[in-house]
Amino acid sequence: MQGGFNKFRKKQRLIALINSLVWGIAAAIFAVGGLLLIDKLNTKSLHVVLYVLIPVATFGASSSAAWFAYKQKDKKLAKTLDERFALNDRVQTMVEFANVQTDMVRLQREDAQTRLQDISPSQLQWKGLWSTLAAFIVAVAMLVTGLAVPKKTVETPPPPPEYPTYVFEITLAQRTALGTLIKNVKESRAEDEVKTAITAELEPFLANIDEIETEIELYTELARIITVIDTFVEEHNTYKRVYQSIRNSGLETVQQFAIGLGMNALPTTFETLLAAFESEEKDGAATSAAIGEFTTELATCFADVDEVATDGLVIAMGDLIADMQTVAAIDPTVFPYDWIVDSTKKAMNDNVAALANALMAQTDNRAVTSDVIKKLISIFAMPEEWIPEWGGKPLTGLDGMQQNPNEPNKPGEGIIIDGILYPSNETVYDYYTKVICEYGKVFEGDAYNYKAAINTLISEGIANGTINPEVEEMLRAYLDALSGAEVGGGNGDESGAEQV
Amino acid sequence: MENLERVKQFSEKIAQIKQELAKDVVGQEDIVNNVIIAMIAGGNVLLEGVPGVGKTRLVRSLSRVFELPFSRIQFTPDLMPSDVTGTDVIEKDEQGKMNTVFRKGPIFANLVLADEINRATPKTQSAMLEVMQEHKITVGKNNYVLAEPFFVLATENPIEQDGTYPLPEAQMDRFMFKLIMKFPQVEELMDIVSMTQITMAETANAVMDGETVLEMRALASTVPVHTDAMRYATELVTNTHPEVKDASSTAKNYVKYGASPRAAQALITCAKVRALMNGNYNVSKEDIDALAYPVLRHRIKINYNAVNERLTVDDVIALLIKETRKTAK
Repeated sequence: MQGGFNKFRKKQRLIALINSLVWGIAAAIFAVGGLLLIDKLNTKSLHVVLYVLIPVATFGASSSAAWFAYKQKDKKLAKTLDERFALNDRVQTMVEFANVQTDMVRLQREDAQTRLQDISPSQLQWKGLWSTLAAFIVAVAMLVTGLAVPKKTVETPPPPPEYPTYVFEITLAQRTALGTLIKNVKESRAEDEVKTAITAELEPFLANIDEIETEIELYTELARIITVIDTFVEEHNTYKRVYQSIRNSGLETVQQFAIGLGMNALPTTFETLLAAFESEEKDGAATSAAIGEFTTELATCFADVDEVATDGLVIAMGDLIADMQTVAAIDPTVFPYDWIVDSTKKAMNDNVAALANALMAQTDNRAVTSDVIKKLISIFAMPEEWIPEWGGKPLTGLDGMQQNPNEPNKPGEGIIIDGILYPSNETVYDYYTKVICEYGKVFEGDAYNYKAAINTLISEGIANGTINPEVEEMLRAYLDALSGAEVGGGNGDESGAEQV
Repeated sequence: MENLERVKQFSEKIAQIKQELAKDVVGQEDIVNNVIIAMIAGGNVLLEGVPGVGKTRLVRSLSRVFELPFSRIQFTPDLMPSDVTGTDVIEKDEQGKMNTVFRKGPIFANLVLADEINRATPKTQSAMLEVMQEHKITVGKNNYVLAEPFFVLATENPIEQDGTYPLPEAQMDRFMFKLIMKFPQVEELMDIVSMTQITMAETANAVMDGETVLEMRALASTVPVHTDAMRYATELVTNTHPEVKDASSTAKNYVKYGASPRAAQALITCAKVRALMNGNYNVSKEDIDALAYPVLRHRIKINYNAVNERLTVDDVIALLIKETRKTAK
């Protein structure tokens, strides 16, 4: 094919080439705009290599695709020419029979070429012009958009919520409570040695409490203090040793004396002993012998005690033994029976107060120490597994011993609660009101300090369903019972009463 | 070069034919063109027209222009096949011997006017149509080949349908074209009257002979047809069938029977002639569109829907052309 068709073919190829280049450029521009947009809308920036690779690849792909889309095959071009210029299928026939050389076909070919020669290629419509321009405009719009959109600022994400870490801290309330405890110890009725021993531990502890950084350190120190003061009291108080020394005596009267000593019921015990010494026949010799036997045995047993010479109980026991030995030395043949009995009474009466006071002092020692330990545990919320053994074990042979319910605690003698003797005027740390108060106030029903707080808790518990309403009545009755009605008597647990 | 001359002569001859025919036939240019196309293409024409529009005159003028023997057969219900084809007769020769001699019928001509063919009985029609198809006659044991070019122009009177024997579709398919000769316009009629006042005789002169027609036929057959045009012609014929897969909506709606493959053959063959007549050296879709009406109007049968919508066959053909053009793009 020559001339006429070729010029149209060239024109069409040129149009296709221009279209494909424009499409390629448009696609590349669009890609750049798209990348810019992505870059701007994200906090992270795209790598600069992408700005080169992607547009180049897009250009290549788009221009290639456009080339094949716009480039018309000869057959298609022929049809376009026939339709565009009303050539009655001349060009299509010419193209299809391009390789046929019959006379008619040659005539047809020449005819078609002649017709095409008269037509200017400029008349051929630029196929795809508007779509190409539209693509270019869209691409430019995308580029402008990509340039115009502001870069998204890096938003600092909010810090992740910090889980509250436990910060070890000795609170002011704890420090105050400890200070009050020290003060109360100093003002307590414990013996000076005990007070000194306790304050010698607590004062440095309070002074250096800021150096404690962890709970483990705190509990370790508390456990040490508890063990120290408890051990001190155990060793300072002689009653257990005195009791143990005479309790296992084979002599019944000595055993009775030991029991009476343990229950702090000496007057009654002495009366019982006296009755044992007396004879119905008023036999002075027998009575003297009984007294002597008692005294000898008592002295023998007491001699085994590793006593502290200045201990009050040891001194009182020594005095009692000495006086009883004097009585036992009375010649029954010289002195009458009544003289012996009266002398025995006097010896007992002269020493009962000293013994009682000595016992009370050691009771105070134990009570104060126990209270200090309990308060330390309470103030610092010491876990049970950290609490060392303290308070001594129940006295051997005193299993089942109970406080005589017919002997109400006398004023000044304190109160036994759960087997623990609490001297009066002791203070307690009120858990609910978070203050140190006299223990009596707790049980006297001070509405604000204790009962009111409990009532409030009960009401809240019933309201939120944590306390069964059926239990409410029982709880309120219990509180009423505590409000001063039974202070000093009939305390629930009377088994295993702990003594000093 | 020689073919170029022949092509040039083709156009000149056609022009001469038209010029000569115009002397005897006023107007009816489409009819004249299509008749010439059919003759050169080697087909037969069914001409429908009211009496007096010039059907016989046209054929006689054609015979003069092509210098071809012409015969006219007036079909009547009592016409026998042998009246058309001829028959054996017994004759006494010079020696007095009785011999059987075949007497040729009026069919033995190059141009035959079969007037009111639908008035003949089916038997006579079939005899005629067999000749048209095969260009030979079988009488007894003998076959008689008709001289080429052989062209039959059959007529039908659209008015007098009583007592007629409509040609069956299979027979109709033998005609390459069906042309409808319309009543002339006023000016044409004036010209006709004026002309016939002078003389009723045909005055056309011969411009070619039968041999030339055959040469023109051979030349026309060399006109190239590109694939799209061929496909277009075949799609047009296929679209006349409502029963085919993906049938055209026009066929589904309005056509009862579609055209046979002869229609596609006729389209292409005649398109070549038409292209050459118009000075073109290739077949175009325009040629096919122009020839679709004469080729298809007697080959498709419209259904009641078309009748109900007052659509003629030509209207349906127009719809088919439109639909085929659309799908061809």
